[in-house]
Amino acid sequence: MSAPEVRTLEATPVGPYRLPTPAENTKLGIWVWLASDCALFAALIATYVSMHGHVGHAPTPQQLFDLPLTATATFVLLLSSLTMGLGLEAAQHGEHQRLMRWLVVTMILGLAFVGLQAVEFTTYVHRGLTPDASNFGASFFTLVGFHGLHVTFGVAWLLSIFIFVVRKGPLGPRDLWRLEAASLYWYFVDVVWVVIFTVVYLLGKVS
Amino acid sequence: MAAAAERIGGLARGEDRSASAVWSWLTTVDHKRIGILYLFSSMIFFLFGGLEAFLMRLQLMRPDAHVVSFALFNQLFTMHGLTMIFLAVMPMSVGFINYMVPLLIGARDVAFPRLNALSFWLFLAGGLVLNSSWLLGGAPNAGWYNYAPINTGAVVHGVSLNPGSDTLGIDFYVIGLQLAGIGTLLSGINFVVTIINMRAPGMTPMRLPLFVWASLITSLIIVFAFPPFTINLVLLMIDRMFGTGFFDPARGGNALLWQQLFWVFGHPEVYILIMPAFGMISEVIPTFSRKPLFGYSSMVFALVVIAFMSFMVWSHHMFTVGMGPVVNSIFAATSMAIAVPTGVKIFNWLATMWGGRIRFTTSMLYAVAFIVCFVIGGMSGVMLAVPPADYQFNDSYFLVAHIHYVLIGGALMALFAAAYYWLPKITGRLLNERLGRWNFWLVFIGFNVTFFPMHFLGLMGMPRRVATYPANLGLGFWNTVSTVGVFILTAGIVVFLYNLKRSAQHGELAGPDPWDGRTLEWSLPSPVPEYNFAEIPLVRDRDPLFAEKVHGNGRLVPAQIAEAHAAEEHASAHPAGIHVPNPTILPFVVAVALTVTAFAAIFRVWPLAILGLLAAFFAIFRLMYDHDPGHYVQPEEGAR
Amino acid sequence: MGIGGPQLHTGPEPRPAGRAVGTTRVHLLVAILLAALTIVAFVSVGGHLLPVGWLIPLLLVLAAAQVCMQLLYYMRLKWDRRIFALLFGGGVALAVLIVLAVHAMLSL
Repeated sequence: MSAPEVRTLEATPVGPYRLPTPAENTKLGIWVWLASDCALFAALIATYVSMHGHVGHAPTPQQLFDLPLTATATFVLLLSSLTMGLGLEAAQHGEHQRLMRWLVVTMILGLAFVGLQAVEFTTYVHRGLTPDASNFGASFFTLVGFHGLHVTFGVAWLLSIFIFVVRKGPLGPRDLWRLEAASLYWYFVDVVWVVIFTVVYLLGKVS
Repeated sequence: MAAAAERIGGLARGEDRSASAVWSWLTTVDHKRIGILYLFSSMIFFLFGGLEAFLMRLQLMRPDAHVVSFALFNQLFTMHGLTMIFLAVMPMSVGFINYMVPLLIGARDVAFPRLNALSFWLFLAGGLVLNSSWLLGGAPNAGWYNYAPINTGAVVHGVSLNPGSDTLGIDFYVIGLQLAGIGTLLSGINFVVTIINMRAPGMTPMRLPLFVWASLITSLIIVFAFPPFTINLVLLMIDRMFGTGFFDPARGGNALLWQQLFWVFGHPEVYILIMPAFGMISEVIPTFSRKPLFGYSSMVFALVVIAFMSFMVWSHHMFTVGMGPVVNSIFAATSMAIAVPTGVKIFNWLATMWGGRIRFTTSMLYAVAFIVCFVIGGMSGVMLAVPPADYQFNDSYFLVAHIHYVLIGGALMALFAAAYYWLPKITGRLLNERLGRWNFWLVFIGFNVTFFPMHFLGLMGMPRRVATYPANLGLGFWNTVSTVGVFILTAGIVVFLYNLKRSAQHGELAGPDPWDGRTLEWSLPSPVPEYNFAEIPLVRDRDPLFAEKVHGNGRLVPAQIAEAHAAEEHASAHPAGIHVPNPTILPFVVAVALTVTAFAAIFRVWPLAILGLLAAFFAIFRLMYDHDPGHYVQPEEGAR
Repeated sequence: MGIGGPQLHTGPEPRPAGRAVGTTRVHLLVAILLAALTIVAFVSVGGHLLPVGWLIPLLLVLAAAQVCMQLLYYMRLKWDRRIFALLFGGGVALAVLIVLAVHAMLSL
């Protein structure tokens, strides 16, 4: 091997260094996590799609699904995304009171969604669709219930931010990323619901 | 365990061994110490898995043997597979990733140090829950891929498909792997963010050491491949605990759903095992050939393509379930296509050695053995990818030979290469080369004597996972040879353990740069100080340290630090020293709470399960909101 | 900002967390559009306005439009680092692949 040619290493090709902020790291982390959550829901939806035909002696999707109820739940969640966004915007402008108001409204809407789901589930169970009655039931309760758990966790997350603000004072620019991270998750749960109400409820009613 | 890890780590770092030492290991958030914890615990699990294999080979040495009962044999092969894949090879790679990636990219820690600790404790909790099944009523017994419906305890025509699954063994599988899986997923997320965000200035994507590229790709595969498996486990859990019938054909379920979701995960999983190995070999070979890696860009490209393809081939595990010629042909084609980027890597490694001034250290011997064994495993893989032939090979010892050539000949050889290469950086002392040679030749010969005959056994028709075989089939000879090989292999492992112990006490001091290395970690003292880099380096070449040796003055140039943030966030310019995060017990608490939940779920104590879950969430929220002021460490004089 | 490169975190100032890109106006506009699309979806199913052959593609397109709008405007992918979209897009692509492939192979 011949001697390597001597060359000048570049002096300073890049600007001054700083550590990435918690906001930069956390947001990237949240996006990676949400990407992986997509695969999680995909596996559940694949299960539902391949199982929903096995109704056995239990009621069928067409008999059970109540579109007005689902539409109400959908609008509740949709509205909660809007209030989340308004809350985030208030925080960005440093309007503390408005943030807290929107946070409370968002949490109430989230709980209302979970409540509606509880009502829906109990109705179905009373009408004979238990998780072990048919594989439609099993996969339906698993998929939709899993999404409901996501919403519940989202409410807990928002509540934790609420408590944080109550204890430590208004969200400063240095802590804004906490709310941003939670909001990304909250929107994502709504995105998943769009897929679920289309694939499960609307297509279930159609076919 | 932590106490034992402390022995190695304490020796490595020269710390005091007071009672608080255990506490310091439980609360550490230093990526290097977490890496040591991973390496140590995966080594223990590896010995467990090895013991299980040893017992199986004793049973199979002679026909009609009764060394272990048939029921125990089922548990042995299940736990052997699970342990080696989930608790030994994967976390061993994660251990090296943990320790080395921040050093290789010029960072002081990972993006989320406390999440990193949580990942480790969850992995350990999962491993312990899984292994506790031995003492609590029997281990899982349906194979590592745990096919439905034998995993559900289903009864067909009054006969249980798997009498053993009436016990809790499979519940330990379901719960233990979920716990460990969450830990792995979190560490995948952590390393994606670390590698994308935390690189030192000048460390552009096409200057990343190949091990870092491999770690990034591995982490991405983890992030995308684990969810389908998690869902599979959740569905099985609901089946077993709440009486649904997802996988029970008698009730309208579909046993193939398990297979599909399992292999959607399962095939990428084998790439999770082998990708870090590719990365390790790509660091070892250039260093000991004294040449830059040949075809760097094509190596990166090949890694990306292999990762992408790994999600396109899963049904080649299911050729014989009757998906028809169209599906089988598609998946045969995609499976064979993976051989192309893999071949690119093999030729690049060979071309790196070509014309180099090769030093055959133990590490390099293992790297070369890796290439040889992995090519053999790859060839038998392409043979298995031919569906008509697969109808013959499927579920025979041919497959056992293939997977062990890829996972021992591939992944484990690379891990040994990495151990001889990087442990001096971790412990500060070189491993003994003389013992290393004994270790290498015993392992290499033992491995080939054990597993090469399995190709013949498979072609002679011996099915895998049988507890014994009759004498008149003529399978006895090669089985005996194979078991003799296991004795040689075991001797090799024992020599390695002795080498570890001896070198930790009397080994030659490594110094910062024992191999005349190319990459950033060799600019640091061995063992590496808590803050890694006293000054964040400026990366000016793909082989940063080597370039400075050849074209500069042999020392890395410090990067320019942004003034506005130097004081607050990046305290290199801080008079008090370098900012490092404080230790915390909370990740350990989360893992303990989830372990309680795990056992409560296995034994169906639901209130306790919910209590554990709430405690875990409470601790997680504490982790999220407790402000960590960190503390300052004064860098040592002359440390770079 | 691009995918990576050192310039990523070598700028003089970090981008302030939560730069106010999604204004109230955008939020309200997107919300109204989302609501409109949802109403179209539910009414077209509930009112049996279309033959099934048309309805299914329509519902899928409506859902896709809603998902994209939420991702781009609510979740700010339109303004944020491109790698977020890249990673998440990978997740979505894999998700679609899993659903289609598993369904296709299980219904063979």
